[in-house]
Amino acid sequence: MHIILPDKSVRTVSCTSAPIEEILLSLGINPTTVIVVKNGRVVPEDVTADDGDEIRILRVSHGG
Amino acid sequence: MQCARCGEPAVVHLTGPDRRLCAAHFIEDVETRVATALECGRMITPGDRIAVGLSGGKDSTALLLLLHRLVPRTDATLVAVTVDEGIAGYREETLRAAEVLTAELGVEHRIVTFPDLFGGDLDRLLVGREAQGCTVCGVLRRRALVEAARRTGATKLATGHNLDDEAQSVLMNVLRGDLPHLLHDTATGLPGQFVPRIKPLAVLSEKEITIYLLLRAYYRDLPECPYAGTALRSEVRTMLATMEHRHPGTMGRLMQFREEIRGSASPTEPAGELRLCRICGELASGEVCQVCRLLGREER
Repeated sequence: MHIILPDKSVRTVSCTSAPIEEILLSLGINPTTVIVVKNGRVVPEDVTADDGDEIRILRVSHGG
Repeated sequence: MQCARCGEPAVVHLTGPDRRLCAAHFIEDVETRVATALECGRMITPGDRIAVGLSGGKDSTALLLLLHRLVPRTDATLVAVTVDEGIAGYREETLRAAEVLTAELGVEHRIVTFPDLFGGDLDRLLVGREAQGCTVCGVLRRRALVEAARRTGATKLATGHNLDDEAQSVLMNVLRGDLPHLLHDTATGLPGQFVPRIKPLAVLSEKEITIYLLLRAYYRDLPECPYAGTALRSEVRTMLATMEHRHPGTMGRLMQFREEIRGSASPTEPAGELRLCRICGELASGEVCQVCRLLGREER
């Protein structure tokens, strides 16, 4: 799956299926600080992402 | 993962109470919560002219969008006020966003600038003390907003403070041992001295506000303030976000704690004596207000 991080960099992760919250935590991202857009739709973090999905992560806090 | 109300795909999983909502029902839920907060907090009274502090960033954008939908239910009127501090590479873009939004909504818009009010923009005022950016800006911006509200004849000043901001403030006051600030409630105002503040978004987390903007197609990936991250708030923000993830509801419970403390404080207990600044005549906790101290006016 393709993961677009808040800094716009892209990571390609090979995995069959995993809850998005788990993916975020493995990337060192606190789920309360981001919004996840899966294949163009906002989704709760407990949905599952599969291989081939595009996951865009948007940072919530801009600190100012 | 479906919406609890209609079966459409859920966009969000909320707690307290636990519910999954689709886009339409999340928007409705947010608007209902803010409408309830306005009503229960008696934030709007008949005939109010509400100045909305509009920086152009996400919170104030959501605030104006929500008030623009909810205020017509009352007989109050809205005016947007923007403070241009003069932060190169940051404020220009948010200022443009504020202008576009007010034009689209047909809301009157007034801009005040730091050079007009304080004789120089923030970048100039911070030379040699950049690390104090958030503190200096916070003090001056509060004063500028009050001045802008006065100039528009507003009876209330609405700001986009969200649940995260408010919970962070509670924890910061606790960490500083600052009981007077914990008890101080700016909602009451002081007749003839300052315009009462209202914070209709304090019932929404920063995340909920961002999702609301995304779903209403008003989300913009704006630049980060170059002075951000230099204050205690930045550390508290990270700490609270971790706590909120591990123990959902932490921020809400902090707010509840503050309300209980305020409710149980003796009414005769002074929340910091206020007087008028001998230099500018504004309200101050000492002989000279924070703004005059920061601008070095007392040394002249």
